[in-house]
Amino acid sequence: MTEFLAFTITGIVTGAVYAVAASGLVVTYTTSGIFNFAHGAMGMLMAFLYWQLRVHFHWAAPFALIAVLFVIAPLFGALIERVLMRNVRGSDTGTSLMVTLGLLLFLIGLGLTWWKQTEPRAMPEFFAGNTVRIFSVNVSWHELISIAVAGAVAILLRLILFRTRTGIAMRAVVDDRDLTALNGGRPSRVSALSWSLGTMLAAIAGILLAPKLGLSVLNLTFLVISAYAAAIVGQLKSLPLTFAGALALGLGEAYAVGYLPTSGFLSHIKPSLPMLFLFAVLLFLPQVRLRVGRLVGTRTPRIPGWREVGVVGAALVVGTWIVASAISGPDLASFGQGLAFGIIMLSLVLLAGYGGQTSLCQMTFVGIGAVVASYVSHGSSPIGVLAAAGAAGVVGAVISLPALRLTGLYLALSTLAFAVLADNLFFLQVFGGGGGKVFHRLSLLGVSFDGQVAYTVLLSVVFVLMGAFVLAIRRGPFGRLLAAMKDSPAACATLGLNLTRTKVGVFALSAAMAGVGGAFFGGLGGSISSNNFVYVQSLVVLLMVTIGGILTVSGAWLGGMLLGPGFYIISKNVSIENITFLGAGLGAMTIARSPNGIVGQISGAFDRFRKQPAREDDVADVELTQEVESIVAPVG
Amino acid sequence: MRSTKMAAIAIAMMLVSAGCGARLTKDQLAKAAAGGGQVASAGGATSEDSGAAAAGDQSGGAAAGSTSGGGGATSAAGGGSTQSAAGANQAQGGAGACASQGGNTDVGVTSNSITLANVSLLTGPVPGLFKGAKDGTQAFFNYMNSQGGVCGRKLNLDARDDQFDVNQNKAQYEDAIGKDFGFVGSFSVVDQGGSAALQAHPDVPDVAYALSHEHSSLPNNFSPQPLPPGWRLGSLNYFKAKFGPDVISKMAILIEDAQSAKDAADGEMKAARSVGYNFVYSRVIEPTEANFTSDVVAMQQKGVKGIMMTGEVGAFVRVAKAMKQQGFSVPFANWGANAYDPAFITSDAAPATNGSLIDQQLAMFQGEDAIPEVQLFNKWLKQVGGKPDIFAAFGWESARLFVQALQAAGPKPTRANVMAQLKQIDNFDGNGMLAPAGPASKRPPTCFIVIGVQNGKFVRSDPPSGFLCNQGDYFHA
Repeated sequence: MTEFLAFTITGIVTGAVYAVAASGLVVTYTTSGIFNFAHGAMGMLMAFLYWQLRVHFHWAAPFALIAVLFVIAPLFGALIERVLMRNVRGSDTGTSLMVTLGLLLFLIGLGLTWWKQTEPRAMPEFFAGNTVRIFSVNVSWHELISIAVAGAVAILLRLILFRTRTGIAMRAVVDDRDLTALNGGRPSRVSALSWSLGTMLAAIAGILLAPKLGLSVLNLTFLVISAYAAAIVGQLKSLPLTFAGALALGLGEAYAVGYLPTSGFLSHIKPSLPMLFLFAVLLFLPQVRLRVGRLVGTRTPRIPGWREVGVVGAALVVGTWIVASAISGPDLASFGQGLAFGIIMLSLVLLAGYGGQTSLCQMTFVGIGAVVASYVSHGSSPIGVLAAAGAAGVVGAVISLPALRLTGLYLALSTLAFAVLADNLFFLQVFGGGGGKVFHRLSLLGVSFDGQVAYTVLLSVVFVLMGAFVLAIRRGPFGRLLAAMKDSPAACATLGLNLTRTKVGVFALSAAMAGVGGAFFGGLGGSISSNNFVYVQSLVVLLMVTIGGILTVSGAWLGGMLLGPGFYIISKNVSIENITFLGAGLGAMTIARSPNGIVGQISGAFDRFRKQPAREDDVADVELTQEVESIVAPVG
Repeated sequence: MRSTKMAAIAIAMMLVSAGCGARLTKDQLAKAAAGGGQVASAGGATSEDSGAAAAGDQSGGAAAGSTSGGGGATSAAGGGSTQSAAGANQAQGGAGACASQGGNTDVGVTSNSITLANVSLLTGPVPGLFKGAKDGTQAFFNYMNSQGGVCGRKLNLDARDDQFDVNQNKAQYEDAIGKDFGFVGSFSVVDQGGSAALQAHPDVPDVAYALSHEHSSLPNNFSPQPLPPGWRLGSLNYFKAKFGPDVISKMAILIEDAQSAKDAADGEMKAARSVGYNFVYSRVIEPTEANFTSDVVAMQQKGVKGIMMTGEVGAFVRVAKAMKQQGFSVPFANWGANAYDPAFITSDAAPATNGSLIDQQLAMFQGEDAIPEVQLFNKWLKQVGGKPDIFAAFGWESARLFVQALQAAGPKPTRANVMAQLKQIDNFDGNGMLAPAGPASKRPPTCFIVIGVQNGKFVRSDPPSGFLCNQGDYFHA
């Protein structure tokens, strides 16, 4: 019993840490409607600033706290809202996620640049050395403060959001910005206030966590992911439920340490517990009701005719051959890599661009395809490519099942949970340590593509074929169904269209394409390893195709080129530390202004040059009617 | 891939810990630092710089003959510490008797220079983490050039960045094979990429501590401290004798959730069990775990008396702090070589880490050891703006090993004759900075030193100088 109580106490302490982090996420979402991927990064930045004042400049703790919590954090939050988040207003989930992901990368770049991680830093706990003994466990004052802060945050925020005019205004802005303005509210000011509050909470979490976790840019940034599950328990709305979810997660982890076996399959549960928790919570969420009062109309770019596809495709292959023959070594390798990423990104054009389904696990499908292909003649057989497509497609279909019930952010988070679980439970088991699996390049009908130039040209051919395949789908009935589902699932359901089959189909097809991409991706470096497919890779790939233009095949090509040779050339020629983090972050933040990416921008500019009215490539919200919550239709 | 670079973020969580990338923790480093042998360079560089000429620096000039070291104290039976047979390992510059002849004798060689490539991960998720590999190599080249180079030829370093990308790693190796004489001091978590290139060119010498099995097992890869799967028994026997069966029968081990860390822990646990250790508590931990109180409670319940860890230094500190907070101390706390890091003794960490033990197979290369090689290493490293970390140490010693073979090859170096010389060097101790090992036969070191943490400082605990040898062989897992 003593042991159980001890684990309970430690679980509560851990839960408090999660609660503080998750509360900030909930507040940001409640008051801005945006799920802030960068919440942890903002907390990290504030924690380092606190260290800078408190430890490096020797400020007294109260002054450093006041400066960070009540001056720097609110100003920073307001700045973020003004220059970035204001432009995300009205965007779909994918766009807002990508913008916050860009902010995350940018802040990581800042953190790594300003505070070199190779230098040790110490951040003392509050009242270090003082403890209180509770049920045979010594709880530090710092931990008690964390618990108290977590509780106070939950209560105070509840009061602020529901009992004050400011809080009500914050929620009103999320519900209907224009209506709030019509009623005398000042939406811009309220939004800025919301982001200030969210950033203050991120700062509190960062400052409380840093002494326990260490001043690590990456650890502090990514710890918050474990808190997603707690935030989802409260459906990103309820702070008390979030607090309860955080405690449940903390207790679960403590009991797992105490009572689960330390070997065998169950030993993997503890590291995966936050994601298992998230996945389970998402599965038990109430089925999403379709909203019929709001139609998000997207005017997609023109679909090229077959002759145009043929000409451009042939030009791409010939151009690739010319470029590949002109360059060599690392330059050529990065070029080939860009094409391989382009192939993978095509799968996202289909799924996210056409179908409107956000996937944060695409590189997991790529990994599954690569692993399967490696088991077939180490990747050199065309049968391996087919097997890769089949295996990834089947897994994609299975993973799509939660998608039948989930939409938007919840769907995205469920795919993220799947990706992390695949990292922990699949890839780390498949790949041994100290290297990876040998992967040979494809041989086709006795023709080997082992040479770098030949393989690069082959990649371009595959890209063109798969691009044509994607366009063929878009032009066909399935493509029109995808477009309709993206615009209004409720309308589709009302018309009797089978959304279940459509969702499962597009997920499976997209995963199969990613699997094919994996079969070619593996041939690039001659080997594959688990770190090729870690979940963050999926975020980066989605980010780059969004920057390129997720609605078009050319956007996928451009995204691949940015991720492959683009970053390579920048790193090679620009001697700015962390330029890739900073550059990718800044690039992603432009999505706020141009959801259709660079291709959309170019297309718009081209139209203006031709003096044609600019196509409304940017996502346009078309408010048709007032939302009619009573009119719902079951998904699928 | 570059994506990896950012993706690495995630990894970095585990990486940082790992110190190595992809799901690698510093553990591969830990493995790196883990080897075994010890020898204090006796004759070794008793002087710096010019001192190379001094005692022990026998390889000056024509280095010939100094290739295969004498005596290896690697596996052994007796006991006690050993001073290195260093002299045989010394590499020293100067034209001397082997003034440059023959002009362009091979790829990357001119009448007055030799260019070698270093392919390392320089801009990964934790920028600068592996920069030491390049810095250490460059520092040794600068030192050699200050002594006149090798047979009158200056040493040039073609430093390349694989950007945490296996594809780039492979491409950089392939590109450099056509331009540079060989590879030296490379360090990357994606070095399996380069292994394919080197496998296709078995004539190209590669002297580096390779992390991947594909790379380290290549016949043309020579590591200053080869470390096959397994663990050194010497330190396990040493602690067994020091703390007795009551302690080693109630051990705990915490393992970072990275495959390399798991592999290292697997080898260490098997080796430990083979000499009587018993683990009553073990757990795989996540890099982002902040609260280890549950582990401490569990360890208390199970009567744990000794603890080991594989992972990164940050996690070590967090566990040590959790133990201190709960008033839980064990007679035997051995955190492994990764703990030999300034982060382990910061003002915040020291109260919890004082009294800890660390066993490793390198001398105290951060400068605590007064042996000439360590002083020389720190002096020249400082001049290139480097910091004395384990990557720099391996870069420096890889360069020393390569140069030793280069000198032995004489005034007309070719890849073939340098390779032949490398195949003869089977007792290398880096002038006392490394435990002696067999690069040619890929024989791991078995000697070690024990470092203690006292008053927030690293202090050599045993032996007073040199390395402890003859405590046990190497357990091959």
